[in-house]
Order: sequence, then C-alpha cells, then structure tokens
Amino acid sequence: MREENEPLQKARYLQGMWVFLGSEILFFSGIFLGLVVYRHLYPEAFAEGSRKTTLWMGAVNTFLLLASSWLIAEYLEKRREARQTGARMPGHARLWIAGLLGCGFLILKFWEYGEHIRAGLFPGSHWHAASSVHAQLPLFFFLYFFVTGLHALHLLIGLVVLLILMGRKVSEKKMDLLWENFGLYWHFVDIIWVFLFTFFYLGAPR
Amino acid sequence: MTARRVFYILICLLGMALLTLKVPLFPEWLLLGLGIATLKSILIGCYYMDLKRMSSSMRWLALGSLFWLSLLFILTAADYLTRPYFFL
Repeated sequence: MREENEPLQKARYLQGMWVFLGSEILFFSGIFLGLVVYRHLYPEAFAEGSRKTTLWMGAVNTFLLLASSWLIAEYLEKRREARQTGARMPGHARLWIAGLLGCGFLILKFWEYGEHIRAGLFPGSHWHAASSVHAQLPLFFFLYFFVTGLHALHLLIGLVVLLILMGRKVSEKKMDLLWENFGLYWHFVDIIWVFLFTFFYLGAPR
Repeated sequence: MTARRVFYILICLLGMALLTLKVPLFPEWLLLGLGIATLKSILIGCYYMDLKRMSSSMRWLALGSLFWLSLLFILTAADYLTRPYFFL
C-alpha cells in the first residue's frame, strides 16, 4: 500500500463495510417490521410468548455480547493509540476473550432452544404446549426461532472471521483496516441482539 | 468517553430495562424497552462504531440507512393503522 493512498484506501474499506451494513439493516428491518405488525395484531399471544422465554438466559446473553463488544472496541482503541504513538501493537488477549464470550452466547442460546423444544414450544409437529390459550402462540415461537437463529448465524460468521483474522499474516496497516471493519460488523450484530432481546424477552411484565 | 465507561453505561441500561418488567408504571412496557434499546444502540453506534469520529460523508452513509428504515416503518404503519379492522 503506497503512503499517499492510505486515507483513500481506508475510506474505501469503511464505505464498503457501511454499504454492506446498510443492506443488513434493511434486511433485519423488514423482519422487525413484521414483528411489530404481528405484535400489534396479536398482543395477548405475543405477551404470553414473551413470558414463556427464559428471561435470565436472555439477560446473561445480552451481558455476554455487550462485554464482547466492549473488548473489541477497547482492542481497536489500543491499536489506534499504538499506531499514533509508535508503541507495540496490543496482544490478542482481548480478542480471545471476546470470542469466548461469543461462544458462550451461542452455547446458552442453544441450551435455551433445547428447553423450549422439550417444553413443546417448537412450531410444527413438535408443538404440544397444552397450556397455550392463544392460537397465535406458534407464530410467536416461529418468529422467535427464525429471527434469533438468523442472529446466531451472523454471530457464528463473526466468530469464524475473528479466528481467520487472528491467524492472518499481512502488514499491520492492512490489518488496521480489516480489524476496523470487523469491529463494525461485531457491534452491528450486538445492536441487532439488543433489539431482539427487548422484543422477545421484555415484551410483557412478569 | 472510553470503551470501558460506555460498557458500564450499557450495563446500567440493561439493568434498567430488566427493572421495567417489575414496575407497572407504564401502560406499554415494550415501548419503554425499545426506547432503552435505542439508547443502547446510539451509544454503541457513536462510541464503539466510531460514528462520532468518522468523516461527514461516512456519517451520512450510515444515517442514510436509518432514513430509509424510518420510511419503511412510517409508510407501513400508515397503511396498517388506517385499516378499519384494526380498530374492531
């Protein structure tokens, strides 16, 4: 990378990432819009669905993602500082911990899925939630499994990219750009979860 | 503001969101929760995604997607909320 092209190259990388995130925002927005409309149509069923989710697991998962986002942001902060002062680049400890927190999120999420499936809350032939009084409860759980599953897939992709970047051997300047873009993606996944947690877990008083 | 301080604020907001479930002061809990979630996402966007330090063109690019998002919600809400059976 030539010296005079650095700012331009950085702008191009970031703009490309923001265009990608913009498309992701529109993709998830359509889903959120569907959630809002269905909640408006069937408020009692969606409130019952919210009460059937495991609040502590959702709260712990939110904590795990927020903590991982903090570690990624702090890593990038230290990296920028090192770049400005000429000090040594920060080690990968924060990234490893952030990755482990991400894994913790996925483990807890799939454990929660297991609990719901055992409770008969998986829509389709496995559905046997006898206590349900609302016909639209399966719709809530269909959306719950679909949207949180989609989010988990995004997180899994983030974890794979994190591993790839940690093992990558290219110039530090190039790595700066890649890490900045990775940080944007990771925080975006965090923001999506913040809204999903609110919608699915905090939808009704307990 | 450092990343650590933003994290502490985010955790406080998470605690507040959980507390709203126990305090029946508000008729629509979800709206309150979504307000807190929006505040959290603004903090993450401004400080973790660095929107505060970015060039104005990049900021416009990011805000542009929010503009299209608002159009999507406003126009759809205008349709659904003006359908007569919604009020039956």
